[in-house]
Amino acid sequence: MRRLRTALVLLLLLAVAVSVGATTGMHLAEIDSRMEADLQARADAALGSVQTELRQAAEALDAELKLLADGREPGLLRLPASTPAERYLWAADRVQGSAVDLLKVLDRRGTILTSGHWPASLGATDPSMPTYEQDTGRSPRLVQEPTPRGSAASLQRWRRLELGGEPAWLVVGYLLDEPGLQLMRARLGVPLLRMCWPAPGGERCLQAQADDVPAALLKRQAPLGVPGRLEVGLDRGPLDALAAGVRLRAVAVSAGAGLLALLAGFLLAQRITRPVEALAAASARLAEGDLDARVAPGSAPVREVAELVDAFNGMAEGLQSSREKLVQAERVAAWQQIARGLAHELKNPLTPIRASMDVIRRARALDRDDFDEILAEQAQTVVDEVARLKELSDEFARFARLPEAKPEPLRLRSIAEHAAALYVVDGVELVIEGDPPPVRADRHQLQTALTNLVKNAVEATEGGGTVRITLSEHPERQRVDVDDSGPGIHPSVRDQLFTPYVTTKGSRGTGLGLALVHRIAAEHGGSIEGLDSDLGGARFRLELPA
Amino acid sequence: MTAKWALAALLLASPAWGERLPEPGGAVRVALPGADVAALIEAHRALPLLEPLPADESARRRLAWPPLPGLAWRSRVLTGLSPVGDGARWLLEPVDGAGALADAVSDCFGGDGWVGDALRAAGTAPVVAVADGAVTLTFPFPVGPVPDLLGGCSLTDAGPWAPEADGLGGAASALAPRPLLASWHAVGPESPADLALGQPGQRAARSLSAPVPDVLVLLLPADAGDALGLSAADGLARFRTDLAPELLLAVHWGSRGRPLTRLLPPGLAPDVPEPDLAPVAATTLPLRALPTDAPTFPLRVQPDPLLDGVTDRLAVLLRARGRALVPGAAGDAALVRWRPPVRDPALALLALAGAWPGLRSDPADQERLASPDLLHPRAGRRLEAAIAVERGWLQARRAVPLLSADRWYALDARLRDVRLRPDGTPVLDDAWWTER
Repeated sequence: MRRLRTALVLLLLLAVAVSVGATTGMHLAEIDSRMEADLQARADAALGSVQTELRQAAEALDAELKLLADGREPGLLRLPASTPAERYLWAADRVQGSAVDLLKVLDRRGTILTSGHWPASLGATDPSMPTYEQDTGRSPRLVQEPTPRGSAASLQRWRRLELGGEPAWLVVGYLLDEPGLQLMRARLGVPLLRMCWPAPGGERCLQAQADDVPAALLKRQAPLGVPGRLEVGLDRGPLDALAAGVRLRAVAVSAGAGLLALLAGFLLAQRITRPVEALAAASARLAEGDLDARVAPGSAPVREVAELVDAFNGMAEGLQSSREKLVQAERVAAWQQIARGLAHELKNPLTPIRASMDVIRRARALDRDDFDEILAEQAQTVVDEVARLKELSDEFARFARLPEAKPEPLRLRSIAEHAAALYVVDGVELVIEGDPPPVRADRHQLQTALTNLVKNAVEATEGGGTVRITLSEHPERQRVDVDDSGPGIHPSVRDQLFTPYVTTKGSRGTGLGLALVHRIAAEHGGSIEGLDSDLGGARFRLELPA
Repeated sequence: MTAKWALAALLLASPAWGERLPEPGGAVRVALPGADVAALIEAHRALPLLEPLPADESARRRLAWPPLPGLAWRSRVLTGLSPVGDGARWLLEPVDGAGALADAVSDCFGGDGWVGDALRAAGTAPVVAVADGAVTLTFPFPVGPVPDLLGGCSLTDAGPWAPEADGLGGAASALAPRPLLASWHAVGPESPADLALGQPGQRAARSLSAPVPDVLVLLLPADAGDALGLSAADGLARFRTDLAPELLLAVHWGSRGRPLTRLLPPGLAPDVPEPDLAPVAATTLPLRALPTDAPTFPLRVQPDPLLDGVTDRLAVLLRARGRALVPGAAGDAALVRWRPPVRDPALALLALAGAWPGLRSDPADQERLASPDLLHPRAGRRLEAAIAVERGWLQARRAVPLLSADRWYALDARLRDVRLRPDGTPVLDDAWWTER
C-alpha cells in the first residue's frame, strides 16, 4: 500500500514538475529570443556607428592628403632642403593645426624625414614602408604605427610624391590608440570594442573594454570597411539576470507547487488507500475466519473504491450468511450423527437386555429346571449391559461437560510417560522421543488427550507393533506426534475422525475419544489432525501454543 | 676716521650714485614651473646662514653688508667663520643665539637637502657643539668647503619674507632687513610676469643667466647601458651620434646649451680635456613593431619639456634595439635634469650621489666618494677628486651626461638687483623697481 501511495505522490509531483518546467522553458525561450534580438539590434547599431566613424575619418584623411599633396604645401616642398630642426618641427606643427594626428614623410628608403606624432623618430626607418610601397594608399588601411611608448593602431592613407626630385611618401592618419577607442566605446555604451586587422606577422587587434567587463558578453562582428574586422561585446548581464530571475521564480513556484502536490498527493493517496487498506485488513480477517469483518461504508471518497467496499461488504455478508447456514446444517448433521450414534449405542445393550428378558420369560414359561441358573446368567447379562449403558452415559457427560481448563506449566514428556505407562502391553513397543520445554495447559485435560491418543494407537497395533510418541518444539507451538504401526486411518472416516460417535472399533469404542481430544485441543488454542505415519499406521498430531 | 674717508671717496668716485636710488614698494609677479615655486618660497622665507658675496656688488651695498672677514661670503646670522688649525675644526660665531644656530646646522647636515645628501655620500658628519657662545664643527679630517656647506643651510622662517594673502611680503625679522619690494607672488606659466624662467624662443628686455647650466644626465643601474649599446667599444660615440643632442637642444631649448660629455658642466669645473670620443657615422634606426612581450627599458623621467623630447629620442634608439621604453620606478634608469646646487664641483657631485643611491651602489664608487680629498681644504685637491669620481661613473656607464641646458630668467627691465643663489634660485631680497 505504501508503494501505491508513493506512486500516487510521485505521479502528482511529476505532473506538476512537467507542467511548471514546460511553462518556464517556454517563457525563458521567449525572453531569450526577445532580449537576444534587442542585443543584436544594439550591437548592429554600435557596429554601424563605428563603421560610419571610420568612413568619415577616411574621408577626412583623403581631404587632408589632397590639401597637403595637391595644394603643394610650401613647407612640404621645402622639406628636402630644410635643416633637421625644421624638419623635426614641421610635421609636429602641421599636425597641431590639422584634423589629423598622424603625419609623416618618408624618403624612398623609408627614412622618416619628419613625423608629427613622434618627431624624435626623425632619421629612423619606418617599418611600414613595404606596405606603403605595395599599396597605392587610395583606400584607407589600418596600420600598426610605432609610437614613443610602443605602437598604436592607426587609420592611414598615403601618397607617393616627388620631393626635390626624389620619390617620397606622404602619410596621414588617425591614431586609434586605446584611449581613443575607449572614448568611442564609452560613447557607444558597449563594454567591449575591438578592431582587428591583418598585419605582417599575423593579425593585430586593438581593444577597449570597460573597467568592469561583464562576464557574459554577446559578441558581434562586422567588417571594418577597411581590411579587418570589428567586434563589439554587449552585456548579456541583464538578459541573464532576467532569465536567472525567471528561473529562480520558476524554481520557487516549482518548489511550492511540488510541496502542494506532495501534500495533495499525500492526502489523496490517503483517501484512496485508506479504504483499500481497510479492505485488505478486512479481507485478511475474513480469511482468518472473522466473518464479521466489514469495511465502513462511505469511507471511500472515490466512487470506484466505494463500489469495491460495497461489493466486499456484500460478499462478506453473503459469506457469513452461507457460513451460518453451513454451520447450522453441520450442527444439525452433527446432532443427527450423534443421535444416530447414541441410538446405536443405546440399542446395542438394549438388544441383549431384551433377549435376556425373553430367555428368562421363556425359561419361566417352560419351567425349566435350570431356571435359576438361566435367571442368574441372564440377569448378569442385563447387569452388564446396564453397566455399559452407564459407562456410555458417563462418557457422553464428560464430552458434553468438559470442565474449565486450569493452565499450568507442564512438561510434555512426563505427561506422555504417564499416558504410556497406562498402556504397557506385551508385544507393543512404546517409544517416547524428545523433551521440549514446558507448555501451559490443563494437566487433567492434557493427560486425557494423550491417554486417548496412546490408547487408540496401542489398540490399533492389536497387540503387536510399535507406538512412538515424538515430542518436539516449533516456533510458537509445541507438537506431540503419536504414531503407530497399525493399519492406518481408513479413508471412509478420515474426514470424520473427530466427529462424536464415529469409530472404527465397533462396540469397543464409544466414538467420543478423538472428539474429546479435538475439543481439548481447541480449548487450549491448539489443533489435532490425523496423518499417515512413517511407521505404516496412523499419526495423530497434537499442537499446543508455546 | 678711515671709514669716513673711505665713504667720502666712495661717494665722490661712484658714478652710480647719481643714478636713481631704490624706492621701497611694489609687487613682482614670478612665473616658474610648479616644482620650482615651492623652492622659491622656501628660499625667501628662510634666512641662509651664509650667502656668497655677489661679484658685482657695489661698494655702497658692500659697505652696508660687509663680507665675513677673510671670506667671499657674507651673513646676517654669523659674525665670524674660521677654521681652527688644519681645518678639521671650524668656529662659527653667531650674531645671536648659538643654540639655535647649532640646531639649524645639525638639522641641515643631517637633513634631506643637498647638504645632507653630500655629507651622507661622503660618509662623514661633523660633531656640532656649542662652547663659549660659539658653535664648533669638528670633522674627522680637514674640511675646506665649510662655507659652501653652510651656504646650503638656513634658519627656517627667519628670512625677510612672510606669507601674505596674495604671495609673500616683507617680514618683521630681527636678523634680515625688510625687503624693498612690498610683495611678490607666483603666477601661472602662461600669465604675464615680471620674472619668469626663460623658455626657448622667449624674448626678454633683460635676462639673468644662472652661473651653472642644468645638466641632462642619464643615470643607469648596473648593466642597464647594454640596452643602449653603451658597452660596445664605440657604443658611447654611436649613442651620442644617434641621440643627436644638438638637434634636441635646437628643437626643445632654442640651442641654449650644448652637448655634454662630462658631468661637471662649464662654470662648475674648469675646462679639462673631454673624453676622447671618435666620431661615428649615424646608423640606421629601424622603428620595429615590437611584440607585446618585447624586452623593456624602464626609465624614470621628471616632468619637463626638454626631458620629454630627449625621452622620445631615447625611445627611438631603444626601439631600434628591439626594446620598448616604459615608465620606470625607484632603482630603474632615470633621465635627470640636474641643477648643481653649489659651485664647488666635489660638493656638487657628492650631492648628486646622495640624491641618487645608484651612483654609490658600486664599492669602487663608495671608495671614491669616501675620499677625504673631496672635502679637502685645497680646492685643487677637491677638483681632482671630483674628476676621479666623475670619471668612475662615466666609465662604468652609471652616468651618461647628454647635454647642458642654460638656465636663465627673463626680467622686466625696471626690476633691479635680482640675485641668483648658487643653485640658480632667484632671490628678491634686494630687488626694487626703478619706476612703477
